[in-house]
Amino acid sequence: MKYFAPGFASPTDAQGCFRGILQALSTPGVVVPFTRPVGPPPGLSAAAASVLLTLTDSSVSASLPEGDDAARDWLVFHAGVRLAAPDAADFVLARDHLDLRQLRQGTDDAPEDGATLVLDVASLEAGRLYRLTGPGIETERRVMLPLADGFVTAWRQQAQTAPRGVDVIFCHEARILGLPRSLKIEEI
Amino acid sequence: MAYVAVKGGEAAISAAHSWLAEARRGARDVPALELAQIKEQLSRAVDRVMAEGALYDRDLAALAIAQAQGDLIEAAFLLRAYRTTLPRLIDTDPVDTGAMLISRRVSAIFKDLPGGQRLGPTTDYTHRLLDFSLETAGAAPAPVPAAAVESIEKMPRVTDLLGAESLIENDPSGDETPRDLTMEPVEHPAPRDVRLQGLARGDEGFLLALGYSTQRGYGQNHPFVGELRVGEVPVSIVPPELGFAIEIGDVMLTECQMVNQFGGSKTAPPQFTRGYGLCFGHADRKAMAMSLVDRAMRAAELGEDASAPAQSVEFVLSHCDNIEATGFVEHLKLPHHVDFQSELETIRAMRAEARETLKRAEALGALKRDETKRESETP
Amino acid sequence: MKGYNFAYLDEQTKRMIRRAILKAVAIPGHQIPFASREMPLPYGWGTGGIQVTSAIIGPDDVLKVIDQGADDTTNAVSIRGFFGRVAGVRTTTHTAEASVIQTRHRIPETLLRPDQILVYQVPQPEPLYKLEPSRAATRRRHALAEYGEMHVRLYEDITRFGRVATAYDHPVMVNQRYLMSPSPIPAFDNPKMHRMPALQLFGAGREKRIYAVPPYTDVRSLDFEDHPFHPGRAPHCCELCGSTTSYLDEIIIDDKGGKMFACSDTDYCESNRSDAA
Repeated sequence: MKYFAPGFASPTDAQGCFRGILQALSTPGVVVPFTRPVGPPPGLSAAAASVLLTLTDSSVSASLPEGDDAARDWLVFHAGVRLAAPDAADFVLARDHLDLRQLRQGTDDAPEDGATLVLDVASLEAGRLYRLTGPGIETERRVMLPLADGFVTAWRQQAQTAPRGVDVIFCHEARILGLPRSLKIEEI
Repeated sequence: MAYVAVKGGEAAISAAHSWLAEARRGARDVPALELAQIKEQLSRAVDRVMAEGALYDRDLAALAIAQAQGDLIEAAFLLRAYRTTLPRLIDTDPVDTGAMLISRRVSAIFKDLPGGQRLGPTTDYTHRLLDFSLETAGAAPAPVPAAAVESIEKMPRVTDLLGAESLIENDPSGDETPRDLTMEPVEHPAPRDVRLQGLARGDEGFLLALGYSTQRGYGQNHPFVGELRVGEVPVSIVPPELGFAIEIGDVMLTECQMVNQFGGSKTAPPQFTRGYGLCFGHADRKAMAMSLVDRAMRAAELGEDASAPAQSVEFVLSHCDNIEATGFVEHLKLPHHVDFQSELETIRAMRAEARETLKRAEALGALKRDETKRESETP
Repeated sequence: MKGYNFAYLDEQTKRMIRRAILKAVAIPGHQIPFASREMPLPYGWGTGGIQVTSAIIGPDDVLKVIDQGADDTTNAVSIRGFFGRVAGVRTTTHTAEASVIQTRHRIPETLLRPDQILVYQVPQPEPLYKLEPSRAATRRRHALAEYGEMHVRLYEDITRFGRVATAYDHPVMVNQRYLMSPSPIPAFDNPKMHRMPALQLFGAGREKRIYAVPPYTDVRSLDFEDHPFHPGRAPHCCELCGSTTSYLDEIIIDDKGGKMFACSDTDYCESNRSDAA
């Protein structure tokens, strides 16, 4: 018999995680800690597990990497989420760089149908220095981000078909960082 | 007199609720209504509240009617709000109205037909004369012979008789899972499954008026009642643990199949087209109105000119939910003094500007008159 | 409260609303359709704002609810009481103490902070509805950023009255992309939305739309170079606290047409008076 790591202990824990995600996307580039994250299954950070469990259920679809059976089983058990391919899913979990352009972009009528990419990374303070500007930021915010090669190019291309696009949540241990599609990212 | 900022909204609301409870109870020397009385003796009100509340539960509907002092839209609102809180356990299998235990079944298109014309407990042929014997509570009606109130199982559908000769368009295939308009917001143009759901819970009065309008020329259907049937239909589910269907109860439904103007051409064989109505309880008027409006809303799909109000899907669906409608209409009672104040200031400013403009014009006019006068006086 | 989930809505509904809120924040000013639920208050009475608040609120929040700028108007009392019952959250009338402020038709005079969230009740989220009643049609206009009709409509006011006549719910352009209804706040309040430090969330329950303006986002009232936007206000001061800058309520005090003006924002007014004391 399979044993799954438990889900949220209470609705207020899920609410707490949601407020963290909301803050991460409203104030992009700021690292937001989860104070009461869910205990993750093998293969997922507490942050990624919490983001997925907070936001998914049987009415949306998610894509997890091939071979991530423990994480997939855990999420399907707790959330009842439908599984889908990365180019069709509402939520896409990945560990390395994924080409944003391969994910669902939404339409001009319904740009909100663009996917949410949940990137479970090795560190939130690695990589190069970037300047972030746009909604949520008073002037500019300079952050180190673990962006893969080609990410900024893909991000710039995405901006050209705005407001269609993908929103990204970086996860590490029990902390997240949000990049809504409205953001402008420049290498410093 | 010094102005003291008004407080006391909370106390006012509390007092209002107390008064409401008094008004709801009415004269204390009159016995309080029992919910069973509402359920049994005001069953048409119960049916309507279940239909518009979109929740089949006669006891809850009776409670809502009592709590709402008989205001049926308020009662439907109470049921809807309660429905929101209920966990959604499972979707039932589609009900088979062909398997209905029929208490009433009539057809306007054939004089006689298999199963016969069964009037059931209808007011259709009563004379609308107030029956003053009802003033005496407990006056029991003369007992009716048992056979006359018997329900009959499994009458064949009239529309199937037409269908056997291919005279009527086929029912659309029932394989796809219908959308649930309570789980996804309606996007227009809405497909037929969503339209029918909207109509099933739609306000009876609104749909009645729209259906009536189609009969008077605002979108023409040439409708005939193919069949109107009322009775109990079993409801079944397939629990995942069992893997087979089990019956969990019955609901009373009214179903109207309207046979409408035939489509087709010299080359495509003409067929009658359908309008469909289905609602909880015994509700001829609602089911019939629904079927007229359903057919009207199919105008575009059937290649007809769609310019009448009943034919505008967005117009009908946006306005047929009386809980939405009454909420917004009645919200006008809420304080709006801030916006009104900004209108007042705008109007005052515009009027002041207009006065200024007028004054300047007059001054300019007076100046010109003076000049003209002086010129004419100058030798 | 027994028998009900925390903050009333079930978790599935909250997730649905939460997903909509996050996309709304990522696409400032764009209306996201959501499967609005029937609530225990009628549609048109704040169900959208209530659903948003219900989805975001937690036990550590402090909630303020205002209507027409005041905490004590009947519907604000009713909604505050509702959340007290179903969430047990601490409530307050002081803007500075609140973490979540639900409002109908006003923005508080007190400058809001980055740790605060302002939730607006919106009766009609579609800024183009008077020009085009079909939502299917307006959806296309927003998709193509086709807003010329609205500019023409406002200019018609100028040719007719000599000024823009929209006193409230004056449409705004958000993040230079979406035309948005700010909700029926007086035009006077529009400038507060521009680059507000707090997050602004908008809920329309009956029309089933959620939208958002992130902190420090560009929000500009539609206007013209030769007729710039003018946030009007009664040319008086508050008789209770003396403010010459706050939005005022006009109060009739006798049956001879005698009137006085007082701050619409009751907390702001009281704070001024207690500061002065």
